[in-house]
Amino acid sequence: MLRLDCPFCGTRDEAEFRCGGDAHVERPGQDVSDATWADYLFNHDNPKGLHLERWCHVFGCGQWFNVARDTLTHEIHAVYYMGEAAPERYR
Amino acid sequence: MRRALRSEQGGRIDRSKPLDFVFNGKAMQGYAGDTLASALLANGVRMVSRSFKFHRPRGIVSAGVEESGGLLAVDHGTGLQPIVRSTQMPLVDGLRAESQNCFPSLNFDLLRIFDVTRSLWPAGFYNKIFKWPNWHVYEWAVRRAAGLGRLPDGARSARFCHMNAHCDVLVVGGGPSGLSAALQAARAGEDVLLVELDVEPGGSLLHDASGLDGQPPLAWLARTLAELQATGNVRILTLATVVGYYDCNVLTIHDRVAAYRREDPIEVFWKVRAGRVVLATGAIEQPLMFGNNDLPGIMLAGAMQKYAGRYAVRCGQRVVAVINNDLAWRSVLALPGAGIGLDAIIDSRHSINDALLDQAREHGIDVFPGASPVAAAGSTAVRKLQFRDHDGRARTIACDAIAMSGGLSPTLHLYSQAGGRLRYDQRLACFLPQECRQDVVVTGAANGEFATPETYNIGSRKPSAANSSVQWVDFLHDVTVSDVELACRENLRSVEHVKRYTTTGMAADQGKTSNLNALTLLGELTGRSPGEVGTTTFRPMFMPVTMGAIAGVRRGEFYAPAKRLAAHDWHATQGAVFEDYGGWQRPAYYGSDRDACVRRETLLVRQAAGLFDASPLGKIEVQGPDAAEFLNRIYIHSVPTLKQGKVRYSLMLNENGIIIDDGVFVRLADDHFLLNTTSAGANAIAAWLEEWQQCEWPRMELVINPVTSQWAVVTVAGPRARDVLCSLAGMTDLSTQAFPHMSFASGVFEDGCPYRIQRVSFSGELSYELSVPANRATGFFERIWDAGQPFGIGLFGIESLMILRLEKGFLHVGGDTDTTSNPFDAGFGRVISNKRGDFIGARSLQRAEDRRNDRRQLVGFEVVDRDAVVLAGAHVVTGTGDARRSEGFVTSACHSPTLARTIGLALLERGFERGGEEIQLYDQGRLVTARIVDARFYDPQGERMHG
Amino acid sequence: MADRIEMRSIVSLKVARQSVDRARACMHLAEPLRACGSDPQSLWLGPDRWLLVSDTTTAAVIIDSCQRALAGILHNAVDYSSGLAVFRLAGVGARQLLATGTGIDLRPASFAAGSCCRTRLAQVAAVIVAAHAEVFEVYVDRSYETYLANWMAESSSICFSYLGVARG
Repeated sequence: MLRLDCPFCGTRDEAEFRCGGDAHVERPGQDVSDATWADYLFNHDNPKGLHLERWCHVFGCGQWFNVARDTLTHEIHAVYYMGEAAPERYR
Repeated sequence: MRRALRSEQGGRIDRSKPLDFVFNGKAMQGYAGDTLASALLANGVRMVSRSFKFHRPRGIVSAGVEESGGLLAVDHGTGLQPIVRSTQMPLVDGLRAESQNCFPSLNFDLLRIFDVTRSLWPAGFYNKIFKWPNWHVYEWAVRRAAGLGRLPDGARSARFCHMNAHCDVLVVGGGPSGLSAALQAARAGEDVLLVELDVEPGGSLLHDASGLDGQPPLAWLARTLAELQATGNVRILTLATVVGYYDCNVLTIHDRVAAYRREDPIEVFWKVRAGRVVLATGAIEQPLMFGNNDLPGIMLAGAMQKYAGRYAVRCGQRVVAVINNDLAWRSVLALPGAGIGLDAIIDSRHSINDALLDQAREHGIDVFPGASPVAAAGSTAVRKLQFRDHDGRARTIACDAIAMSGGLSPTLHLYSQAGGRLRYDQRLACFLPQECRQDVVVTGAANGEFATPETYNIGSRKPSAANSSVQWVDFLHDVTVSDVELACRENLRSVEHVKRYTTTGMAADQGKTSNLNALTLLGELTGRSPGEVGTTTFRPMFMPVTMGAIAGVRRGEFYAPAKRLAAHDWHATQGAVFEDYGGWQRPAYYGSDRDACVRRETLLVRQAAGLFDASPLGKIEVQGPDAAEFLNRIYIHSVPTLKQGKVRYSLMLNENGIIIDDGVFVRLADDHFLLNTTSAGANAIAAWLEEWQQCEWPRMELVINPVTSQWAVVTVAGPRARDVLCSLAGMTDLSTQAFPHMSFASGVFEDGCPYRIQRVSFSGELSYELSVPANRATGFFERIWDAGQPFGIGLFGIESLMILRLEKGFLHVGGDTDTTSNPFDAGFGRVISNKRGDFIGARSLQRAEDRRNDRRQLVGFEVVDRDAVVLAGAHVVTGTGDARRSEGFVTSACHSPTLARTIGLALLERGFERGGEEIQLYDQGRLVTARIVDARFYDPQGERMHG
Repeated sequence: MADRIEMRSIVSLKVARQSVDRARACMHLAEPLRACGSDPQSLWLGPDRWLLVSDTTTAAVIIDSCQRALAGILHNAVDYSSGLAVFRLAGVGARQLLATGTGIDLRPASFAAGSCCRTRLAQVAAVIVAAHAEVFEVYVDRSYETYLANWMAESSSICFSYLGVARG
């Protein structure tokens, strides 16, 4: 079980959160090709190692935030606000 | 002269508290402080069970968690539990224990035939025989014969709960190293949790009289415990086993301290979040591999010492030691002092420490250095040992017990679960902790501190050279040396493959006394060091945990929280039959005969007036200058064009263009909206809105505030609905001119109760949804009930509501739609083409696939034979024989009381083009003919709703 | 050990994220993870959301003063007195009872009086407030009132029976 550091509430059990998949996903304009739209909807990288993802503290403050997590070791490298860019070393 | 099996003095048992217990029907006695194992040994019991595969006689081998022979079915007051480790079971009065895996009895086991025919059943035998005609012909018999215990009938009478805890330091193991670590942390002011799986802390201090650097162990123990207590920041758990080590220093504990008492036995499952962890989990002694090393009476040397020192039990009168390291010498040399006759020591090492040889001579013990055991002999207990001395001569020595030791293996399961990597230490011949990214340190024997290479001098672990007797690697799964050799011959070399092929290490003891021997042997056979072979993956739980403990209170009504209406009790007095709808307990109907009630309620709404509790409907307030624009991106209909006080119905889509929710929205003011969602979607849609605002459009100015639970909703529906409501003092003008269909108003009743009312219809009749604060729900239902009596009002439930809406062809999202349904499929094509502006799902709806006319489209049907029964899920089929295929399926169906025939909705390929066509519905072997018709079965113009 | 608190006025306040700092300057709103003030007491649920509670002032009055204090600042304040069920847990064992159902750090040093936390309790969302020493108030969605009351009764029975053994 992970323990996540919500930037607003502090460290809490994983069960208080919902993972929203990839962070920094930009919603394309509405005139993109079907292929680009499909990429946005369905095609995501599944890295072995560093992954930038977004989480929501559903059983707490209800806020979304970003996490840099290692998918192999589950280490949480960084937590930063929704809308912020990832820290330099994790981009 | 035969000495008594229990010493007169010594041990940590309380001779003033005798306890009665029964083993295989025979009455026996032990003392408080005994384990079931020590009590059995004290009563002279040697054979306690039969082995898993071959039904060979087995006895108690260890004095700890690593027990492989003494696994019994035990009832200590809460029902018979299988596979209980007798070494971990504190003896309690009235305990009943039985051998497992033997039929008809322990002494006479018919299935001993498997041992006699042993060569037919090597590792992986089931992959090689039982092939014709197929495995399933034999499977039932094999499964009957296999298995280690039987599940009890009925539930256990114990109770269970969870406990969550935080601490600065979690110390696992209350032996000398663990206690020292806890003391150090406590003195530094840290919040310490010390967990010990035995009944009291102390570990080896409780049976090993040799001092801790010269101090008497028990005195040190008492002083340490007193100091720990005095700091006030130490919690000690006993009879508690740390069973799992997860990410982020989260660990789980199976706590049995209250599990064995007569009154209200309780098992607790802890989840601990530790700042840092200290593992003082000790080391487990390993057996040696030689012929028939599984005979009752053959025990681990350290265990024999522990039984003598801790429980005052003599495990034999004429013991022979078969060992390969100096530490084991210490264990066996303690035996004579406890009144146990140690006749000989057989040590595979050629050169042995002089000091040890001197001690042996003093006690008159014969020593055979450079000697290797060949085979033990005996039927239900060991009688003699054959071995080769250092000259290679075959020798035999009589004995009634063998103390064996293949050295120690640090207990590093939790360390590995935490992600810790292990390294093989050649000089200590065991795996030691190397590194772990979590904040954990390993101390004591678990860290290899049980000896230095100079004080250990461990010899070889090799099995005896080829001999005719079977040499056991894994006692619990009956895996032999020749099984491992077979796996290698069949080219299985990886430790993971050999484990699974031979099943070594996969039994209830998870290889605690077999893994090291197995991989050392595998290394020998394949020319690799044990370090190169490596270990298999360690996974929780370290020891088996009862399912009850894991469940805690989460059974029955506490398994999944059920939501209740504010007026639940009032509905119950009105005869409501409650069922689960999306996590809510809601009235399905009122009365006793389901079909009759549902029929009656449906007709009541059509003819007079019905009362329905719609409180679970989601309600969300959205306010702000950008509220209209935001919602315009959420709904498929236009939002900004809705006027104040007006209500509009719409659908919400996900980004893939799939319908996720439907409901009406209301404009309360220029920048203020009230959204209604489905009951099941209330929380999900509120979260959906937040997600889009926070993640995608954070600069839009709006606030989202869910108010679902604040308002109880009473739906009044039927031709007399207006009459009923008008009688309420303070009600707004409900005439059609002032309050047409899809209007909203709010106000305050004369008694001060605020209300919101919207004229919305799911039943197709004149209908109003009236919201009042939920605290007033019951009182309000009573008021409306009274007000409605002159008009023949009655209550109706979900089942009749579903029929009413189906008669109107109204969509039920999640019922009539699935995760492939887009708005085109549900008949909302024109709305999509009229919509201006971007909205969630818009781009997906432009895809060619989403606009194909051969998609499954929602249409209505009526059956030709008016009363034929059709169920949701029936398929629309075309073609015959092999060419038959499904063109779609029925999503809703009912026998309509209003129309007196069976009607329904179906998702059907090209449905919109096929009005009037006859179709075949296939349902559980029957074919029913139906006709595709306009889904607005009843009152197609909606006159009754708009009136 | 666990009682219902009836008739408490509760107002659910949401403030536009961009305007939170301005709102805090205009009105006394609790700091993160705190409960402060009285009549009304404000409970912090998140950076943009609070509960305003009182046992003496009505929700209408609270909303009114809220709207006046936050005039010109985008916010939504609604009566939520019917939306939540409130329990008081007091006495020896209250902390342990909560510990059977939630994973937050309830140690006195970490969860002292004045602490407020929205978390998961017995599988449902709950706001837990440390009111005084060993007195806690728990807010849950009203639809879970019966479930939680039953859960508390069952869990306290088991937990206290266990603690009796563990201590003695």
